[in-house]
Parts: sequence; structure tokens; C-alpha cells
Amino acid sequence: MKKIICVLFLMMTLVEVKAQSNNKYYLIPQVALLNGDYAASAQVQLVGGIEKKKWSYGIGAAIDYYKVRTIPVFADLRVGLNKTNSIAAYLNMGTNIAWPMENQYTENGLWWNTRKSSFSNGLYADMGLCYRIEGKKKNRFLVGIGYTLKTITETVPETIFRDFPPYIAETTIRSYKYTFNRLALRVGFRL
Amino acid sequence: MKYVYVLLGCALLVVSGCMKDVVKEQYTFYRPVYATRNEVKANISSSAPVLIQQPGKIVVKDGYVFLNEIDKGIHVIDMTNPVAPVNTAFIAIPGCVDIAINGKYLYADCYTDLVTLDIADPKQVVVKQFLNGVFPHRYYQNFRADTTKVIQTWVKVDTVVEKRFTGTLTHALAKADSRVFMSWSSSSFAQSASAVSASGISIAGSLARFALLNNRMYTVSEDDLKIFNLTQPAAPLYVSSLAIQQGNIETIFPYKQTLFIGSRVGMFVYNASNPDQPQKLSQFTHARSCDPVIADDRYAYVTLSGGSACGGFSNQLDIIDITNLASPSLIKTYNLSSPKGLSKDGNLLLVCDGKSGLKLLDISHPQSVVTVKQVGNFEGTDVIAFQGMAIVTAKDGLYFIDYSQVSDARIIGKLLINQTR
Repeated sequence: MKKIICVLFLMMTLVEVKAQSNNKYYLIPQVALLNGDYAASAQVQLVGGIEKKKWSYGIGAAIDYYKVRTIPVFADLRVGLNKTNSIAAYLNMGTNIAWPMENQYTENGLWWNTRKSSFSNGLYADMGLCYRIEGKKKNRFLVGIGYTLKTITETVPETIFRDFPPYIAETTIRSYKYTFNRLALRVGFRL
Repeated sequence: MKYVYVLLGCALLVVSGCMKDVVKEQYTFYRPVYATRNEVKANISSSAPVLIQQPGKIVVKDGYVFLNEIDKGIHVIDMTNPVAPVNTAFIAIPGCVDIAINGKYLYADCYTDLVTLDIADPKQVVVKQFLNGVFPHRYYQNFRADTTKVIQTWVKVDTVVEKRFTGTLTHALAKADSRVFMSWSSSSFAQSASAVSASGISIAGSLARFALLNNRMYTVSEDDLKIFNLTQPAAPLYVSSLAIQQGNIETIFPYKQTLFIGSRVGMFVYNASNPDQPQKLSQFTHARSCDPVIADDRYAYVTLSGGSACGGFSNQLDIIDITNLASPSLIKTYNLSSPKGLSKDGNLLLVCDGKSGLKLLDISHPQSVVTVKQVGNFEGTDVIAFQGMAIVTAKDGLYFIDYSQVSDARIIGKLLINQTR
């Protein structure tokens, strides 16, 4: 959660800096439709950074609801974003912070001792293309398509009742490392 | 440049059809190592004593304690001098968790088989008979053993499996239940009340699943009662099996012409006047719990131990009026810590109660049972009380307790695990 607060703080600072200077900064809120393996979901994202010639460098964060809710926090690299009515390419790389919903935990155990699983963070990557459309009143819409990947690990404590010597109940850990591959269709708005 | 982007976009669309989610699952399970039946039979014999490691059920006969080493065999312990019991021999029987002794013959399970041994000289036992496949209940959840062979040992395996993940994490419980191996067998929770066989020469503990009565041996599995004819004691004959509805069977205690069967949900009473066809007389239902039972002419004594895989949370002693065997009724319940095996000697009830060692209860008045003595702080599992001497199996070994003077009851001898004396 601390990481999320830090990222939001950085974003707000960026907006503030943009307001106070003439440097070329960008801030892009966008939503994405994520189409994956027998599942479709959504992501809301905010990225911001600085433009230098045709390159843009920034950071971003998102809430990603695909299969398990997570918060990707990432570095953002773009090329060609400075031109209107043109195609730009982007690459996001970062960490995928676990933030599962209550019904996404596994509950395991027997009736007298139920235990919940736990999640640990993974990787986040996103790459694709976006098209910048100059609208009326200098509104600049972005539409994009990309491939995005996120990983996350769930660990579930489980008990093996050994039906052989020494006849003990042994607690072990079963872990699931998920890798989710999705196609992302994005719509955003450049501030 | 535009064409490059268009091509990249098209490539992305094409690739999207190949989007596959993957889960890499890492877990631990145990794998059995088998031996052939002939190999196992050839290795059943007496040998030099070995250290006690995992004490199971007990039978006392002629100055000897036959103590089961779970799944490995039987320790023969000379208790002629209980102050200094001597571990004298070991009978290797793989897969053995239950035993009964009839005269000079010992009956033991060897995984799914019944083996008969001549123990006239416990140091030189002789295999008399093998009855194959009579205990198919030695099963494992989510695992089907190769019944043509005998499991010798288990090896721990850590593995990683990678597979496609098309599901969601919602309601993931079902996913965890698909584990490769999670097991417990009906035998796991049964350890040995003291059933004096008809011949009066061997005494078994209250957690026993083998009982001798009227030239028959009755054995219980999770959900049935098996009958073996012992008219030829060296060559038991399988007679039949009787299904016990509701299952969850744990122990059997024979008394006169009656069989008291302890289950995790209650006590079943069977009339064994017709030894080959016992008839169910009644059932006394109690809260779900581990449950051994012993009885006398008027009362049955049932301990309930919860908080384990048996389920339930009751930890108590139930005293049941069985004057009318067809309609047993609860007299009174007494709270205990975590009671397990029990035994009775006159008006004294001896109960292994959690980590409180052995409790001696005065049951002269079932309506007002009082604890008169508590001995030791070991974690007892079963007890045989015999003429002022209690032989107790515990997690850490075997204890001999002199209770001839109840107020002065004390441990006089012990044989601890992994110790020679």
C-alpha cells in the first residue's frame, strides 16, 4: 500500500510541476480492455513523465482486474508521442503488486483449521502502439493496442496427513506462480 | 515508418489469439516404494530388539508386552520386572498397525493381509498363515495403492508442474482440493480399553481394532465388521464382512456376548450370540469425535477427544447405561482435557488424558465420578490396567504404573523411544 501512496504522490507532484513550468510533460489517464485466456477484464491506468524530442520517459500505475486484482507500478518509455495524428510505440516495465479481492484468496484446510492463501508481488510488462488524435479544443485522445503480461505468486499452506510412520500431520506450502498474457485495447486522454 | 507500425499492430492482433495463461504449481507429496508379497513374507521373523520409535497398540500376555511399532512390526518387551522392563525382540511385519493374541498365536495385519504367527517362543516366531487381501480398507484418499504389492516405505517428492490456467481465482478452494496427495486412513487414528479375550490370557488396549470372542476374531475397518473363524487357531478362516452404516469406525471392544464398536459419531452395540452373524442391537450417538469405548455389565465408558482429524471439539467422558442393550442412555458427561485410551479395574477407571498423563477415576457412583489420582505428565494414548499395574503407551514410550495403592499410584518403570532402557 505504501508503494501505491508513493506513486500517487509522484503523480500529483508531476501535475504540479507541469503547471509551474513550460517543460514538456505528459500525463495520460487511460482505461484498457484486457483480453486473455478465456477471460476479459479491465485496467485503469495513469502514466506521466517528460518528453525529450521524440522520446518520452515516465512512470505509471494501474489497477488491473484481470483474474486477480493487482496494482502494476512501472516505468514508462514512449517514442513518437510528440506528434499528433501519428502512431507512437510504448514500453512499460515494473512490478506487479498483489491486491487480491477477498474472494480471490484460496481457503484451505479442514473444518477446524481453515487457512487463507497469501500473494506475493510479481512482474509487469506492457508494450504496444498508440495513436494520438488531435481533437477540438486541443484535446488529445489516445487509442492503443498492446501486449501486456503480469505475474503473481500465490502460496497456500496445506496439510498432508501422513498415513504411514511417523503418522504426523505435516504442513507444506503449495505455490502457484501465475503468468497472465493479455491483449490490451486502450483509450486514453493526454493532459 | 507507418507501415512498420501497422505491421506491428497486425502482429499483435494475430498474437492475441495465442494468449495463454500459465500456472507453475509447486508442491510436495509422498510416493510409495513397493516390495513383492514374497519378499515381505520372507522377511517376517524375530530379530534382535530394536529401538521403539513410533509406539502403536499393545497387547499384554504372559509377562510380555507386545507393542506395535507402527507399520514396521512388534516389539516384544519382557515385563516380568516392571521396574526394569527389557526389550527382548522385534518381529518385523511391514504395514502392521493392529494385533491380537489367541493362545500361542498372534494375528497381525500386514497392510491388506492377515498374518498368523506362532509366538510360543517370541524370540523365534514362525509364520503359520497368510490371508491375502482381507483388509482392503487400508486405503489412501486420492491415492490407490497397487494391491498386488506391499508398500515398504514412502519417499518425499517435491515437484513443479506447469500447465495452462484458463480458470479464475474466484472460488479457488476447489483448486486446492485437487492436490495430488492428501491422505489419512481409517487406521491412523485408532491406537488400542481393555478387552480380555475369551481365553482370558491376553489383554488388548481400548484402541484395538481386533477383538477375540467365541473362537472368532472380529476386526473393524472404517465401515465394516469382519469375522474370522479361529476354530483352527493357526489357520484363521475369513467368514464374512458386515457393513456398518454411517461408518467412521475406530475401535471394537468385546464383552461377554456383546461387541461395542466405537465410531467417530457414536457407539454401536452388536449381539454376537451367533458368532458368525452379529446382530446390531442399538446405537448411541454422540458429538463427532475420536471415540474408544469399553464396557462392563451395566455401563459403557466412552471418551471423546476432539480437535483432531476426527473432527469435533468435545473432550469428555460419557458414562452410558447399557442395562438395556437395545436402548443405551447417557447417565452423565464429565469434561476432560483430551482423553484417549481407557481401561477399567473394579471401580477404578484409568484414562489417558492429553498431556496430563494417566488419570485414575473413582466410578463407584457414575453420577459423581471423581478423579482420585493423576500420574505423570506424559501424553498417553492407551492403557491396559491389570491387577494393580497399568501399562500405558505414550507418544514418548511405554510406562509401567503401579496403582495397587491408588493414593500412592506412581510410575515404576518405563521404556522410552529411542532408548535401550
